[in-house]
Amino acid sequence: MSCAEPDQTLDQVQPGQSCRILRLTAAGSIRQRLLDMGLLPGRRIQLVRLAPLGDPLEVRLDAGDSFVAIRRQEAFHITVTLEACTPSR
Amino acid sequence: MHTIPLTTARPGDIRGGIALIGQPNCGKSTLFNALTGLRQHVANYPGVTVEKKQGPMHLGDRRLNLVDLPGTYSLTAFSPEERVVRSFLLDSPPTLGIHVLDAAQLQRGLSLTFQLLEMGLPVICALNMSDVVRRQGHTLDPRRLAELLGVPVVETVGRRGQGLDQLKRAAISLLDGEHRIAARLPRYGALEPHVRAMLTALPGSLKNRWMALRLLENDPEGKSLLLRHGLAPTEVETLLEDARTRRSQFQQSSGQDLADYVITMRDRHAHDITTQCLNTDSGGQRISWTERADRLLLNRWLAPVFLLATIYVIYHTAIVQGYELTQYTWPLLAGIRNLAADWLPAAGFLHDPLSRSLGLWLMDSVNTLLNYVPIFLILFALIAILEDSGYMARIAFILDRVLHRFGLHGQSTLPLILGGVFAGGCAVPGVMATRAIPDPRARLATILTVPYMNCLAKIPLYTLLIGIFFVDHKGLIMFFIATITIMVALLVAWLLTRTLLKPMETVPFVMEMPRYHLPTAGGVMRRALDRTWLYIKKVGTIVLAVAVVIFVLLNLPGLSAEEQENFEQRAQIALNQFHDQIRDNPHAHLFQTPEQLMQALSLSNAYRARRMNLSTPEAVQSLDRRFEQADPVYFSFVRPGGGDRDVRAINRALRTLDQERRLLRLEIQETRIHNSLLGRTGQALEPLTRAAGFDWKINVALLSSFAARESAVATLGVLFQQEEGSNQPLEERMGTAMGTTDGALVALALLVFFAIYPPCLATAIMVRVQTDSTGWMLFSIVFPAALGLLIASGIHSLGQALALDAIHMMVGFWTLILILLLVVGLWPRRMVKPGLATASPGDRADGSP
Repeated sequence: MSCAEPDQTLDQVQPGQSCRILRLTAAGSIRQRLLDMGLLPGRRIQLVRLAPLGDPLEVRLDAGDSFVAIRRQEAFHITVTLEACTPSR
Repeated sequence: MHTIPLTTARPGDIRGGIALIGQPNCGKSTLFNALTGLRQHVANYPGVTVEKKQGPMHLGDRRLNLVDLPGTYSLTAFSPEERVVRSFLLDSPPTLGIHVLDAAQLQRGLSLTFQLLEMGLPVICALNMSDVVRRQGHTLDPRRLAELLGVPVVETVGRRGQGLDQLKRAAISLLDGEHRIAARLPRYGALEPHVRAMLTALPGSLKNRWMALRLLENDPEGKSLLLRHGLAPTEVETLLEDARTRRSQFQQSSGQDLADYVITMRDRHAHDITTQCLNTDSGGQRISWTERADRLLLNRWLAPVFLLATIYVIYHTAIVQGYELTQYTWPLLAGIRNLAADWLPAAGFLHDPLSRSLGLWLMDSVNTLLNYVPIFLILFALIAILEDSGYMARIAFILDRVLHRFGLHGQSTLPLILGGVFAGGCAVPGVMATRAIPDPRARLATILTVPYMNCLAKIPLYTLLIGIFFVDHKGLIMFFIATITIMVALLVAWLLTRTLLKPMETVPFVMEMPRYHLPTAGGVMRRALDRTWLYIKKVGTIVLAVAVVIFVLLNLPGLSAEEQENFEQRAQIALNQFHDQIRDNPHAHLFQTPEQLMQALSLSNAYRARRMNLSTPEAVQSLDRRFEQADPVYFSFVRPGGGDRDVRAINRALRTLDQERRLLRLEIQETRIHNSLLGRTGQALEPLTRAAGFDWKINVALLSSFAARESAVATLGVLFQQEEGSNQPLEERMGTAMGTTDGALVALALLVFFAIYPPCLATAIMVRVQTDSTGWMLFSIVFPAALGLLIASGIHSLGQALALDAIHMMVGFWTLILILLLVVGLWPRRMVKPGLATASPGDRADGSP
């Protein structure tokens, strides 16, 4: 994954990589649940690890103390841009 | 500034109460325990399976009801917990809310605080776990937070009971009116005029910003909420129409989804507050203890090892050690039964008074269930430790991939283990533990499949059948049973979630990975006791009722006149023989009247029953002394191997008579069961069960085992009773009766049927409690019965038709199930591309927080 194609879904991100949430492509309860757990557009998240069988994923919010596990199926609804690709602010 | 007057806001509320609100894992329950002490009341909210806990809290001389509301992240209507919290806060608003905030997750927690304040609820914030924040190298200024929020903020450490007094003082000063809440709420910019406009149109009890916002956000339950609060249907329509217009107006002009906008504004406000009161002491981010532990515990290769070790520890501590413990508690229960046996009307020679047989039957039924209490106490304590420590969420994380494939959930692991994945568990705690599964569909699927596991009570029948038919293949059969049940359960879960449960609500898997905590002994003990007590209360009472019904079904209508006469005659012959044997004995005068004889026989039976529980010679000696004191005359004849020649002769004659009597009574029981309603049902079912090879005796055993699994073996013991004089164990008796050619095949069918067989009564009641639906309880009984019978018939009939022996059939069946499982499990699945046509463009591309 290079910055040539900066926008990807969260399930494509590799463990250890950090990214910023661009948008959520889910509606209804999935969207609400993601938002409630703090997965808001603009948030910086890091993919910490994958479960032993590759699914679900664990992400860390805002480099803080919040860790959230999420299935690939739901991670697919989160469009992100890799941290390295974000122009520094 | 938004002032919330405490006394006038809720004129209707007289009783007053305090609600404890907070996100999951914020330490709410620990605080609740610390505030209420020992007196708590746990129940379910009507219509849902969400636990409702309340207890009294003393504030000065006031005694208020503290309600521990389920943990929620938000107050939308997407989960049962959220719906419970919302309707509680809106329909019976408490006088005061205590919002427990996890200091380490302040920003996320604050967005719930805002919603509570927007509802107009006077709130005190309990800032919990500030010790965690400090360990991470930050400090939180509670006074600054109180200023910024406009509500009292108290620092607490629930586990150590710190800050409780300050919390109570803050509550008292609010209740006394010394302090007023002046909440600073988030502002919603361009949406603000719409909120105000909606606010004016809302009815009194719902006139708050939260409701106005929810209507604008198109709350799925908005309509019913308004109707519930006394608005006329036409008014409701007008209001909703107004909200709809305003929503599209706002979305068009701002280009944003309204609901997203609200969340973003709240989050931004929360972010502002957090940054203002959080000071970072040491420069860089420290790696938390939890993350360090997870690097090991969730390591790709080590995670399964730790998981297996945990499962092994649970299994070993609860099932193996707990079972050891029942060796000590069982004599206690048996002792109570013996006391009851003494106290109830005396037994007759052939027939006992009804009060005696029913009384003992009930005693036995209750004892069977109480026998598991030690196991449950340990199990529930271990579950509490898993939950409180945070490892439970990790279990779900590790195994979700596999279980999700079959329609279950990562959090189905524990219920399945408790049910006895390998061998020896109990479905009751298994079903109870499904409470933790957040996804309603996966939860129901788990509830319906836990009973397929191998509970402790299934083991005696397995052992019995293996002992008769598969002595040479013990290991193979045990492996077969242990693996086939979980495979069938997974397939059933897959089938159910794709058919019957398909329309059910599911929740996305977005799960917080909580910090690791050291569980407190008090909290763990309390939960273990609470849940065990719930089991005893719920299950005990209903088992009593059903035990009576089964007793009636097994005993009515009783013996026919001829049968009665036949047994009487045989009894008379045995009595005559006895009198002949002792005619010339100098002690014969002691055994002349029937009363004298019964006294001796009852004494002998009571002695034997007690003797069976004893293992040391000292205990036997003390028992002997007690009996000797109580009845010195007859005990000398009952006591084995004592006295002179004459006494021994009587002892021998008595034993022969006793044996004959027991045999007759067994035969009577068999005849009675054969004549009984349940016996006739068993016979009537024979055509249905013939394909599986079950005769009426097996049918009756299976039917009566519904009350408690153990009774299957006991009933079979009665039905396959001994031939006169012989002393074969049950294994051999059943072996002879079932024949050897076809027997093994029938045994295999019976094994499989019993593995899949419906939950026992106690479990069925738990299914009723956990699903809150009699329909699902009935389904949980009928479906496995039908499925089990189908499979058992298939195995037996196919085996007969192909002239295959049981072992071959078993291997064949196992392979078939394995293939099915692999096909379902490994079938490639495409990820469904989400419809990008979500109503909203909805996201800020600039990405500034």
